[in-house]
Amino acid sequence: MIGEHDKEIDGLLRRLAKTESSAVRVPAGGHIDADEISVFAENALPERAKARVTAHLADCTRCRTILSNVVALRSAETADEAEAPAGAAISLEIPWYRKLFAVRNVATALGVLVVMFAGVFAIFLIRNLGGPGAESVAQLENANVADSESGERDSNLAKAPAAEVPAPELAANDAAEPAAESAPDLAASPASEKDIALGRSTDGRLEKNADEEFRTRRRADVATGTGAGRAVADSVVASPGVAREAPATVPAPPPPPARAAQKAAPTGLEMAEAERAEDKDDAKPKVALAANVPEKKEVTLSRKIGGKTFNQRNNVWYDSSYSGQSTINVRRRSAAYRALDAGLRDITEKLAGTVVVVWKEKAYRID
Amino acid sequence: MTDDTCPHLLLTLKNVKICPSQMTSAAEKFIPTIEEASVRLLSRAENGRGLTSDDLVGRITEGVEKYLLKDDPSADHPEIIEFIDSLHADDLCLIIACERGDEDAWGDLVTNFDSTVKAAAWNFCKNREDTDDLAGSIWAELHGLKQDKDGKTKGKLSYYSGKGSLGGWLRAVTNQLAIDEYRKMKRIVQVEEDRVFENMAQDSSERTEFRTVVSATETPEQIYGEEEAQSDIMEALLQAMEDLGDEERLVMKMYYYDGLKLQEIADTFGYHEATASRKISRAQTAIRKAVEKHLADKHGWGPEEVKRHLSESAQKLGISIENLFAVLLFMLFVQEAAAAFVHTAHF
Repeated sequence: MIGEHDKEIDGLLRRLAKTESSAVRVPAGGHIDADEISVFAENALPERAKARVTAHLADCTRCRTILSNVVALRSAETADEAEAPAGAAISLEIPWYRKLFAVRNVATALGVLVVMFAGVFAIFLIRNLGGPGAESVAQLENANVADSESGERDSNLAKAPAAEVPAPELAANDAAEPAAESAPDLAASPASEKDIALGRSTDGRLEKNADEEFRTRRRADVATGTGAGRAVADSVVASPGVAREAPATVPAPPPPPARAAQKAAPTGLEMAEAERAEDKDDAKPKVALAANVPEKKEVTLSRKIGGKTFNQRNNVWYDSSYSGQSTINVRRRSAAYRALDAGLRDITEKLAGTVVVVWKEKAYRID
Repeated sequence: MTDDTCPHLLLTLKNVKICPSQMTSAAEKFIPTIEEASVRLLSRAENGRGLTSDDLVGRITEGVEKYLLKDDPSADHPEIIEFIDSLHADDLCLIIACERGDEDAWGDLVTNFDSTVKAAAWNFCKNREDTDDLAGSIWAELHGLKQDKDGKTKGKLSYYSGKGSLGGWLRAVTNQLAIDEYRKMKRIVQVEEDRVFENMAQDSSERTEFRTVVSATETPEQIYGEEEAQSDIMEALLQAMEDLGDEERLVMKMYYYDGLKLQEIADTFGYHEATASRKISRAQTAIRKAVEKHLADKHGWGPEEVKRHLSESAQKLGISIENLFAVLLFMLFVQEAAAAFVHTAHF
């Protein structure tokens, strides 16, 4: 509102006030009494007397000063009185649920509890999410694994292990089968990827996803690997007949060394070729190839299951007691697999992908 | 007074114990109305202090005369009744009881209003000792050891009409006594000081190094002319203020001279703060017109020249060149310090 005032005149009047405020002007007729001044200050003066008193106050410095002081004091007291009831009203209006937090310690304790729960929840979430994520990243870095992998697959034999499995164990294996099949389906959840990576999945569909994942990795390996990897794929494609003629058991190549991690993205044609090679490899025994695979860096994972230690290399879980001897190739969910010992199947079902395990002094390669 | 006097008046006087000299002829015709209203007033008091309506009639009549009949004897009965019904019944009963020597009433008065008196005294003294002294003087004055020409003890309590609140009245009384005492003290030393101040003022006006600078190219003639113009403007302002209406002038003085807020002024006059602001704006407009007319008449200036002089006068804030340079250097220092801080924080 002051902004609407004439600023020049306002400034001039303020300068004038500096000299005039102390000037003593007493009009004729004497002063008005304190009663009239106080009544005027409270706007209680009857209209008849207002003109007279106003005229006197307008010209009498003394009485006007008294009036201004009374007005200022009254204003200050009114302001103080207005604050006190407001405070009381607020305290009376505090709802019951706010009173609970009126106690400082309770409020602090509740706040700490909330923070703690939030922290625990966050840690739980991170652990669940970070595991598969971290391992999948490691696996992606390992995606251009060499061809010792493919060499190993080529050395796998056709299935004829059924004859070597004792009959009583077959029956036990049959009983264990439904349990394995009834494992919860974790394919859709992120945790399932972790389960797959750690070999927890027992469901056929999961195995299939794991298998597809493995195939994808293999295709990547083949496509982006060194010449040895590609040569493996090419040789497999080019010479299927050789694969068929492969014996059931062949000396398996030693576990592939660590590989360097770096790759270019495979082209579509190369991936298709690798896939066809993979499909054919699954159906026939593999031919052992010379382990002339360049070393590449790989990430090794370890798990202990059933008293055995397994190390994952090139997406294959190797029993620590495996020393490169020939393996008996068995496909999961095949009759030969069901004929295996229950203990062996329990172990392999906790690992996803290909597992090389030594059981009763025999090496099995479970695909 | 003889028995031939109006019996109604005699009866009234005997019952009410009012000295005839205290009542004007104008108030005589309102006595029955006053009595009836006094009874009503006493009935609405929470603590009548053992008083009767007869004890109140005299004081109420004085109030009626003071606020209604003094300025316009043609007041009518409804107005009288309205006036009496607006009186503060409890405060009035308390004061009258104190006047009659009721010790309990005195105790209540001091207990309930000592803080009010001290707050008003503090407004002047600003220290505990002087505040207590002034408050003590106020209570002594109120108790009253003076005697009037009839030999009756008459204290300031007798001047309270009950129209305003007792607290407001006590504030006004405290201020009144403090100002009167202050002016007494001031007059004792004012003679000597005035001479000293006058000499200082004259010396200051003759010195040019602290003169307000408007332009670096001013000549002495120009400076003298501007000072004369400023003096004329101040004179015109004063005259314009005097030409305002009583209420406008009072509002302007309360706002500019006494530093009251718009809300406080509005509460005093019983209108809204915006109304008070508009009154000030209108007064400023009227003052501007009056000042421009005064300057044009006295100096023969045209409208543009008048506006220029007003603008120049308003712009002069009394800042010396030395202060200007000091402010400028300070601002440069602050600027450099801020730049250095930002530079350091960045790296």
